[in-house]
Amino acid sequence: MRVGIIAEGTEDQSVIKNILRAFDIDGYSIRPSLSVDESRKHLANQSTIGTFQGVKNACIQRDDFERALNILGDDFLVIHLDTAEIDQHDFPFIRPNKTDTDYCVQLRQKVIEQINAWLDNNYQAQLVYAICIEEIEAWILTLYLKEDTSEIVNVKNKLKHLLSVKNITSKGCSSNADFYEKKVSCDFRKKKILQKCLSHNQSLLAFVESVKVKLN
Amino acid sequence: MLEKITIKNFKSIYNDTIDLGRVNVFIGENGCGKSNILEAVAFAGALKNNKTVDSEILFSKGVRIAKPDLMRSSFLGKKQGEIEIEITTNNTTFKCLPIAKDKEDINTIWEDKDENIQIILDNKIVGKTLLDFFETEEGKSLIKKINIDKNIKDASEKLGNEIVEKALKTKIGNLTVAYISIEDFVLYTLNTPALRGFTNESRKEPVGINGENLDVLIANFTKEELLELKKYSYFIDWLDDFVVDEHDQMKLKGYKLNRSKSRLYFTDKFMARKNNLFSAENANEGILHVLFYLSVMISHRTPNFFAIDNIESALNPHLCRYLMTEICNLAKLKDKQLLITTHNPAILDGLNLFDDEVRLFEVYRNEQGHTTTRRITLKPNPDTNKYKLSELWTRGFLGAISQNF
Repeated sequence: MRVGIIAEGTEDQSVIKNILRAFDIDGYSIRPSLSVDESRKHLANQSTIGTFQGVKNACIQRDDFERALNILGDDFLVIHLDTAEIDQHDFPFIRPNKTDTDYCVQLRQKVIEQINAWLDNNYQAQLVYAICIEEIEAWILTLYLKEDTSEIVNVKNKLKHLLSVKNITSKGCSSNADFYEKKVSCDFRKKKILQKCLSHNQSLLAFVESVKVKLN
Repeated sequence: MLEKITIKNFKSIYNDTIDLGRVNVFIGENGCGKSNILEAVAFAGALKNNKTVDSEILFSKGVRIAKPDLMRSSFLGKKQGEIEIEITTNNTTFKCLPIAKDKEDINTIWEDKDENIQIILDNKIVGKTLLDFFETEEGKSLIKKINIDKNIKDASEKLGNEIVEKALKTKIGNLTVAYISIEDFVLYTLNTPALRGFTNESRKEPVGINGENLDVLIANFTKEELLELKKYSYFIDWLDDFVVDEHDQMKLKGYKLNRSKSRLYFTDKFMARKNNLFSAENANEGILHVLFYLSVMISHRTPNFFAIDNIESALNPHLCRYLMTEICNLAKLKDKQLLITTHNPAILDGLNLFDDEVRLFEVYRNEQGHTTTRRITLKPNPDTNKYKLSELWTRGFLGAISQNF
């Protein structure tokens, strides 16, 4: 089975591809990497190419959804957003209180509702939401730590530090996305390891559970 | 038509099965194994034709020769198995099991260990079919001349392919035809010097695998075939006409150097009438490639089953699209079956994937590096199905792109 991925960044796509691979799903990139050529990259506001705004635009324009869902066998799409920067965007809700026990569940649900609003509630049955609280590095950290990674502040730096300690380098990788796919998060491909990670991050668990639902 | 091909342990193909249509287009990133699929079929064809083959024969069919241990799949942690190519048609399967006589010698003789041809002869259906045929008046007259107790190949030689085919076709469809198709299979990989008549490395009748002898192929066209070919002159804007100078008289008049063997000449409609003739060695690449593809499709002398590697070579994208459409039409009209590889998205726009005879496959390496194919089909939804296949490919929706960038 092949599944298209609309994500904020190419590193996010890499991590999601590895998670999908645990279920024998081939994830392929839709956004951001293939949507523009070099000329349009030059003209475009860089902030709309990858990033949060790029995902929002994909939802509003919808062309990518139509393209992907017209191919037989491509029965659902993954749509990714990090919640770290939602406050900088036009999100019509107040972030739940971080001390709430169901903070992750509440925030994830609100982001999903917003994505559905961008889509005028179309395609819901064909979407799997990869909502990372707060960044996808929190998901990756579950491979390296045995604690609730959603509570770690500055997950990017934490991951960087751990990779350095473990001497995991980007040597031989063509890009940071390649590094994330082939080295940093490649263990997500192993179902048993992925399963162990789920107890350390609520939003990762929610994503994996929704993939399983689509497969049943 | 051949319906299914299973390839095992051949180059990058560990074990893959492809359900074929009439026109089969393979796309995938460089090095994914597209050409290996075509070569596997050419390998099987060469061996079914000769039972034993050397590197020269394999080369003439379009197979890239390597050391025997590199012709067999070599994967980390996997024991090397023997090559196995299995072809299915009309629910009948025959196999090719090539074994190298000397595993260390790149020039080794390859031998087909398969006894399938005997199995086909022993098959009750085929046996009964032949017996029934020889009960007919036509058959009775032939039975006096031959001993049917020989293998099918001997019988073919004595009776002629047409009679055996006729006998078998009446009851079991296209089994023999399939066998003959695979024997004749060639893999065309065009190059411009060969088309221009400069090189002669794969000079094979009726036309070489790199495009040699295009002039000879056209010179041997029937009147109808030539008319049909000329119908497509609109493919090249400047083309007024083309001729084959049978006795190579133009050379004496100084129209070409003595380097090219091609006797093919073109006239340009934009040039002055008395000064618009030039030889194949001066023609642009596009006309030679287009003329070659249309000629092999139209000719009754070219194989019914063949492959074209990198069909887009030297062609404008727009031309690619319409050439592909015409190739699909001609394949049906002339009862030909094709395997085609391409790296040009425009080729896909000439395919109608809602026609089951026209099939598109993504070829990719799986996580173990094994070449794997996947048929690409579209949902028949006219409201949302508004994107060109070329666009879907370049934007990554079909797969078949490099993942490393």
